[in-house]
Amino acid sequence: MSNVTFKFDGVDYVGQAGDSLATALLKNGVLHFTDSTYRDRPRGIMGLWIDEPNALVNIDSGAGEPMVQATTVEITDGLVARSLSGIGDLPDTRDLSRYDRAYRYADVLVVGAGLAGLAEAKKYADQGKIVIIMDDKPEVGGHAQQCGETIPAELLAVLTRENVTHLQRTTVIGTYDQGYAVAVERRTDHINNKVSTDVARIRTWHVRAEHTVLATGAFQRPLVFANNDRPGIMLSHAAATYVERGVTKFKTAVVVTVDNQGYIDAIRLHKSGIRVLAIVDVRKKLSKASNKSARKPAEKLGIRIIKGATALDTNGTLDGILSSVVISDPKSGLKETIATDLLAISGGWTPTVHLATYIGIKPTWSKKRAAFIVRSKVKSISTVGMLAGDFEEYEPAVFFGPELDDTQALVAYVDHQRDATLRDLRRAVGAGMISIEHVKRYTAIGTAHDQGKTSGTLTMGLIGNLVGLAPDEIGSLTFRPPYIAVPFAALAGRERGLHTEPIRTTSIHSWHVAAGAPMEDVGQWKRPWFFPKPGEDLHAAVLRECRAARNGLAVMDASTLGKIDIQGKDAGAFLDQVYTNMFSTLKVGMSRYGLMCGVDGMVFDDGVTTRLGENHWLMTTTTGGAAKVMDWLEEWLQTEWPHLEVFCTSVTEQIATVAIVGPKSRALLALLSPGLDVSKEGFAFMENKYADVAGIPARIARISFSGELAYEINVPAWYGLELWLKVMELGAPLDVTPYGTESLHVLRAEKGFVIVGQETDGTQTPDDLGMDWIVSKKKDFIGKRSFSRADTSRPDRHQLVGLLPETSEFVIPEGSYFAEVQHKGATPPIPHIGYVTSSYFSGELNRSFAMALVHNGRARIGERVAIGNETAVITEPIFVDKENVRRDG
Amino acid sequence: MVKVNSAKATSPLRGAAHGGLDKGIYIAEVPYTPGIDLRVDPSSPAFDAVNQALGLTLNPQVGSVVRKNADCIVSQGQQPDSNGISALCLGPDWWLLTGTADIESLLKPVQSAHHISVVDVSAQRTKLEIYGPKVKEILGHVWEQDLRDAKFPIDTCTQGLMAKSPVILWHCCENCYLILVRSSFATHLWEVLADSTVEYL
Repeated sequence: MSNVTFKFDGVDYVGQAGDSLATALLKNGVLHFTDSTYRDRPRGIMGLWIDEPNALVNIDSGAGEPMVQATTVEITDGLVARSLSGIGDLPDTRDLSRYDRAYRYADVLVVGAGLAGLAEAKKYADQGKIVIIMDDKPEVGGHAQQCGETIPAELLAVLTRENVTHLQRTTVIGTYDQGYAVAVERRTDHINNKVSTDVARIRTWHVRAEHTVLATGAFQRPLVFANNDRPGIMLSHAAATYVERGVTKFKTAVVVTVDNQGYIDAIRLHKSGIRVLAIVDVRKKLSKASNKSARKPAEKLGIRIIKGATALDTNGTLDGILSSVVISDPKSGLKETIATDLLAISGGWTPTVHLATYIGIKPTWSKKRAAFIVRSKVKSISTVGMLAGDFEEYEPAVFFGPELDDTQALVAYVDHQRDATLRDLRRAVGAGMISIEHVKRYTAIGTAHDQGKTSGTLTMGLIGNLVGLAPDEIGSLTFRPPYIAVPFAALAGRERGLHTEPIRTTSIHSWHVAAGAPMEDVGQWKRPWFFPKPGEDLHAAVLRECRAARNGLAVMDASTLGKIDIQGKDAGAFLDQVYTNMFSTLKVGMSRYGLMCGVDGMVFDDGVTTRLGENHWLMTTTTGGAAKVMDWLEEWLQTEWPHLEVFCTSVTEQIATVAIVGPKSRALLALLSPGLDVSKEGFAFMENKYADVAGIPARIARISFSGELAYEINVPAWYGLELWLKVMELGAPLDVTPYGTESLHVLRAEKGFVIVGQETDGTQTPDDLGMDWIVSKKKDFIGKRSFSRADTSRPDRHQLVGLLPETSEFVIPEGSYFAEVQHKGATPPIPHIGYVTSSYFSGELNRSFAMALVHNGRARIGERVAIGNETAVITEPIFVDKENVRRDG
Repeated sequence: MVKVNSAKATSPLRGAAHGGLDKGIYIAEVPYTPGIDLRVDPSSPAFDAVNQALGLTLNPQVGSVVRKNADCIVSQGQQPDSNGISALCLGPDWWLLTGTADIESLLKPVQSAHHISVVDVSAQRTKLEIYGPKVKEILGHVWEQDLRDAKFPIDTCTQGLMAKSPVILWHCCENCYLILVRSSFATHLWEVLADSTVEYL
């Protein structure tokens, strides 16, 4: 094995490649690892894997990691780690590592590549099934591998079979219904500790399998006695494994056990050169089988065996490190202090039930195994190995710790990371709590990074002792995914930065970007906000753009509007139901503005719909409302009116739309389409014409969202950019001015046109917006019944009005609430009467103006209101061209 | 058929290509793919009329693809047949028709006699071809549905979100998939797909 150098708490160490940080530190003689979070107790490494409650580190090299267990970190050259006392810290630099996600389907998912898992994988692979096998440890083989046993070659061979995907260092963090499992695969940290940008550091797997095999194994339990938390006290399985791996710090050991595992580990320690001073077995009597398989082999090696006794207390050095253990058997009166530097505890096995409980399979208490085990009765899930209780030959006693007085209980640790003791449990029970769910929350046991992997069953057993119930009568621990802590970055995968959400762009977008337009987010769309000339700010650009639209020629990319093609002989009747106003009477070739309500009679969406042919219509929706309107139409057609002969097809992105706006737009259209009659009489307001525009087949609609003469030119989207370029080219002599969403908003607000979603929030009726003129009295429509309710037409509802600030430069912040004028400058709370929905500075008016929803607003026109120290006058919500004379140019 | 004046047209991805035929993966935009959205009730007389006009039998099984004179030309580099039609069933009464045939003209007579809807959606989406021996692994980074051949065989299609973008995915031949993506999402999807190949190129 090659040497690697690493740094821990500022000290340089040399370790062997392949070792965990815990192994490497123990080999270097580091026993006192950290101090506990709340009580500053010296703590050492206790476990072998993610059950470790003490040894938390911050990784400060490579991608960095704020809080991981040293037992799970594989050392690499240059690793820098720092011990933690329960609290980690996130690096303040951005993690540039790559993280990704993969979806995979399989016939069988096997979780755990121990002997049981491998055997299951082989069974299914032999049947020709597609198998995925995942294991969280660095090496395959589970418990057997840790004990140094040889894994049968025919089991290992399954991993390379063509129908088997083997993922090591991959932790299943969640299991869900329908065979769905989520796992994280650690792919680079064990190779080096560089920031990995070209290979995903962590891959999150989303797997769906028809059958899931849980072979998740088990963790060893400690025992609860006084001063059971000193460095030098370890789980026996971990102690034996560390010593086998070359840890030489320990010379002597005492093994305290409730089962045969303690004997196995004592023999492993002995064979690795440790002088095992005693095996202290809680059990007074052993079965024939255990005598043969456990006691005799140990005795043969000359190991002293003390039966019916347990550890009561320990003593330490001045640094708090273990120096001796006090053995006691209250029945025989035995009390003996044995000096040792290693105390190995075998408190029985706790199967890793988490993944089974996530999908609702309850563990059951097995007295014979002193454990909660899982035997799945669900057909699509099987449980095997230690999880299913395949360890009864260890014959454990149901024992969690000796009788302790209150002073001893104060230092008898149940959850090491939380510094929670037997004394805390006694206080919980004393306060009347029995249920594990209550005790857990009262004591914080099981809430640390390890989520009670060593303390869960222990707690239930100890409470049981206190109240005279069996562990399963206390309740059962509820586990929730994720099984281990997972970095958010791993869950996000590639959905970071610009890839977090789709950015939708029009066919003309590249021109807007090149023109330097800042973008506004409209749903997922990026729309140009304004087109600044050098030195211009938003205000200056918008004044110029609006001036061009009102007095000259302006152009905007209107492609983002939602568009729905509607065909069928009943389309007109359908639209009559969908819109509040009448459409079936519309002439072919004409467009009409329409307003939609929900069933609650509130405004839902709006837009212009055109009758392209007798049975053919084209609806436009708001940019953000396209998908919801499409769903709305389909819902009515499919569920309420399936008899109507109507089909709807989304064509939002089929069509690019360029709006040319302003008194000079007619002149530009004449240039773009020389053969077209563009005269006022020849091309009426709301009329549509088909013509070649700059050599492109187009539909031109004379509609206006600014009040000015305007045309919308619609072409197949792949011609959008060409059309725009032609508009800019031929419009140049007319000083054509591109404008963005900000000017669009100002222009429409000056005309008093509402924007659904800005003037509305789903609680406005058409009447509230002053749009009762669009609500047909003659026909039915969706929402009519609600709209007809007395409450909906209450005069004191919030109604849309205009506001003119009395300080003409003052632009009221949108969203501002305001009060009657006598409250000017008053300190809240004061009763408000309404709020501002839109607010701008108008070049046309040379002053600021706003739209607002005001309680009983229409009756208040002419009244003054107070916005903080400012005042404004309530007006009609229309500011420019009330007579509609400008739309003809 | 849907005619394109390529001197004036710009496709969403301007014919972008990534990877290579000699590499594990090749992704390319095939711009200006004709697309006709057809709505017809399979239980109505209109259905037979449509089948007759198109000269094929539409399969009302959602996800089915029926082809006429339309071999997969992607990897073979052949010239397309001028009468090709592929019919992708997207819903119980909804097909996307594509191919070299003049589909709109074929359906015009049916439209005047029956209740069907025929809409040119050629510019609504653009088409990406993605193929190579690594294609399933790479799509597996962005596609949640089962790509195993037994579950998603050649000549089936499905709709879903790929990198949160609405797409139609069509398994057109071995190790070759066509992605029909909404034009406004094309750039986003392209960037995510290209990024997904980082470990494979």
